[in-house]
Amino acid sequence: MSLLEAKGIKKVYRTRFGANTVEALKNVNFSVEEGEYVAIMGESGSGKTTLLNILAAIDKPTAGTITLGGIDFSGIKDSAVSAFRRDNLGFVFQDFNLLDTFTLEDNIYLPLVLSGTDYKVMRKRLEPIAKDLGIFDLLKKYPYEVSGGQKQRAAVARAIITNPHIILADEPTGALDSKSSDELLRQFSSINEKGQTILMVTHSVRAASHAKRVLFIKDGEVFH
Amino acid sequence: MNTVFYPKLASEGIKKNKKTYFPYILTCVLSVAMFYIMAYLCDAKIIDEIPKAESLKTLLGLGVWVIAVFSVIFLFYTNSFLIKNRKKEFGLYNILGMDKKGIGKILLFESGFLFAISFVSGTVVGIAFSKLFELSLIKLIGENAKFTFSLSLSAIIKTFVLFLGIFLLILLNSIRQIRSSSALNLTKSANLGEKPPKANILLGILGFVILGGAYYIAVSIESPIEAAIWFLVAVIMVIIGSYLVFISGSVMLCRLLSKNKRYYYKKNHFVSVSSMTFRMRRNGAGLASICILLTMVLVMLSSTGCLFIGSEDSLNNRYPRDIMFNASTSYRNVLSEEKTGKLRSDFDTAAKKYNTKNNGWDYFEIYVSGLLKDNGKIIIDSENETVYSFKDIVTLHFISLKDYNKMMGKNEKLKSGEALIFATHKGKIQKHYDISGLKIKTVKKLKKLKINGSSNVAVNPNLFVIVNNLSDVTNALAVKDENAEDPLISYNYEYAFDTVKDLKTQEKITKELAETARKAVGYGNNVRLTVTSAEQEKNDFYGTFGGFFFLAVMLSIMFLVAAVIIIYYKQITEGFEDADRFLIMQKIGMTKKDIKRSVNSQMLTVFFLPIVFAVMHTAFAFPLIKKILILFGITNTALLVFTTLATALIFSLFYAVVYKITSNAYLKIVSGKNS
Repeated sequence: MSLLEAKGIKKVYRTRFGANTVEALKNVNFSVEEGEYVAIMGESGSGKTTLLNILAAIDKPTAGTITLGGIDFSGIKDSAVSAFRRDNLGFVFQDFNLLDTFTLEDNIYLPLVLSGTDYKVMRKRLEPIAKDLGIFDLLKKYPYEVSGGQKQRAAVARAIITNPHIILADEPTGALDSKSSDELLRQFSSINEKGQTILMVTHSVRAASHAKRVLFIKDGEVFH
Repeated sequence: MNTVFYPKLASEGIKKNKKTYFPYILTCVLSVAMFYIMAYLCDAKIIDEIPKAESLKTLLGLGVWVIAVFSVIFLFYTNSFLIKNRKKEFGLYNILGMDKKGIGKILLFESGFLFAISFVSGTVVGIAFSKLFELSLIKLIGENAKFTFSLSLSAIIKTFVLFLGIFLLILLNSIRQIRSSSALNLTKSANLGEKPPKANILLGILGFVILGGAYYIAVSIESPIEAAIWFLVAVIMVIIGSYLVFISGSVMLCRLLSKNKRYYYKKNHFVSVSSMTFRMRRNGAGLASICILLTMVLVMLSSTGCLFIGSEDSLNNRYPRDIMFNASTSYRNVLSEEKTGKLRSDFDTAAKKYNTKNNGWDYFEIYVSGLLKDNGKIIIDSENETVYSFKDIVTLHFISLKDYNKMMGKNEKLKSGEALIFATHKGKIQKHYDISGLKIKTVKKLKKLKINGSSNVAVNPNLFVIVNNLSDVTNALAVKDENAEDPLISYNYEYAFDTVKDLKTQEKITKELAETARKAVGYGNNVRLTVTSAEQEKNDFYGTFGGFFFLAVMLSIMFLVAAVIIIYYKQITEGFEDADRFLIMQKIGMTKKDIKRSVNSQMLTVFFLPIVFAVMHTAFAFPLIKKILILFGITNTALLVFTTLATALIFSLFYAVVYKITSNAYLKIVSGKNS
């Protein structure tokens, strides 16, 4: 059984007065196996962000089902969504989404704190991850004190510290220079080699080339 | 560059940053209005209509200072987070080629606009409210008050000068900050967390020392007069101390909490502690402002509430009989035995006609005040001595045994040099007294005596000394009296009785008796004749003290509104700041429930701390208030305790409601940007 399975995903947006409808996703079917590193590529407007939002349970599909580890979450209750995301998914965003009020260390701890993990456990988990990502010496710094690449690496650390089933990365290199991008992509590969499943959405060929499998999305449909 | 360039940039800046400027302008307007109202009331003619207007004016005068100091600190801090948000824009101007001088000019115009808006609307609001106060007061006091619709120019000028000064200081401080940072730092500063002040611990200790000093003053002051004077000093010390303690305290608390890993890395604490740390100084200042306003309200309401309720109590003390007559003179011969005899028989006739209870008083007394020493020595001509405490000044009333026996229906006998003693205040009655040479031996301490009520409510102890022959007293003390610059001794004749409790009847009796007395004693400047009726006095007293209470309630409402607005806007502005953060946290997996919990934990601190400190301040102010109330004739401590507790309780309930509303508004903002 696949880790993540999307079947017949459809998303229709209505304009404000319901006069026009826009079909962002027509009929998306694909699956991701455990330990895979998949990139979904597409131009802007192709529906890739919509797809990612649905996969992340941020948005709901008009039709279709998504299962993660055998559990269908397309119909999950609003109140349970956040907890579901926290426990099963890891996120890496284009604009990092780190909190100014926290040091990098505390930013990385945030999802664990939210799920009530003991401090000692958090510390134990953080050390190898931070060392692997090369941000161990920066942990006490605040986001505005480090570079974009360092910020994104902290965001990656935040995503993997919960041991999620799958990491969803939305244009992770979009705000980075080419050197930082390459470094981040190398780190993604090495994380993946350790068994972490990654699903990345991007429009950059260079980023997609690091993935083991690439899907293309165009006009709301996925091509294999 | 053309001349409208800078003013235009400045006004655009204000317009564009409405969200942050509106609350700031509102606080400025409120401060101006508060100050104007206080300054106006200080000069207002209407206040003269209230009894004890002098003491009231002193207190209002203190209020003016308190609000001035409060405004300086308060506006300074509210401005500090305003300028933080603007720095980014200034940094951009700087990068685009505008020099620091130009930025200074923008700031100058901006402050100018803000000052103009705040001063004009603040004064208008102030005038409107002070007129509302005045009209309501006139309604309460009644037709005796002359109504004049006047503006106080001096209050307007005072307001203008103070706030011009404050705005200038703020402007200079902003320019200093802009000057000392580079363009790049400016653009970044909006995202920057606040750095703790360098000498933080020292400041905190200083704050505690100042608070401690204020508390010490409050607790240690003995005399009511001194209490009224030191009250201002203590209040200002409390304001400064509170700000220091809250600011450095909040920094220290944040550090302590985030160092305690077990506490910090808990779902409910993590977010709230970190965002408090992020704005720790501003938070401290906001909390201190709220705390001070709350304290003012608590102190004012509890003391005037006590004053109002206690007035009944004190009225009965002061006017124990319905009709009271007093004739007073400094000349021994004016109230001769013959004349007092005539008064007595005339009053007896009148009393028979109106008296419903036979419980009045009727005595002639020799009245003198002196300085009491430890060994029972009393010095009546102590002009060169320093008085340390009110307890040291004793007022003596000498009454003849004949009057006493007749009045109390007794048959006591005394030898020359012996005396029966009655004391109005608790304290030791000596076995022997030496009153500037007049030696007296106490043979009996009296438990009861019908006396004129004013000595009951006197600040200092009064001793009633019953002696066999009053001429012994006059002979011994008259020499001292003649040598003194001002007469030391006065001779009083007191007469009182109860009658029907009806205002009209009592007014009639008063008029009648005044006429009778004038006929018996004769007209002249050497004697003062007064007839008072309890009903008339009560009538006046309630009308006017009602006004007093009303004034306090109005001022309290004003402070309260200010406090509520500060709390509300503090949370709203923080809400807008926090909204993005909560959005990110939701993406990462924070549930709505988590948000609610973390908001509650943050709110609780914001609301809880100021009221705890406010109650503490009030508790320490208690002894001071008690003493100041003595000036108004209120000596009932239990009542003050009751009113203080009652206000604190009612107030906490009110506060809880504000808390609920505010935290809901905050929650709505931070969870509004939904996923």
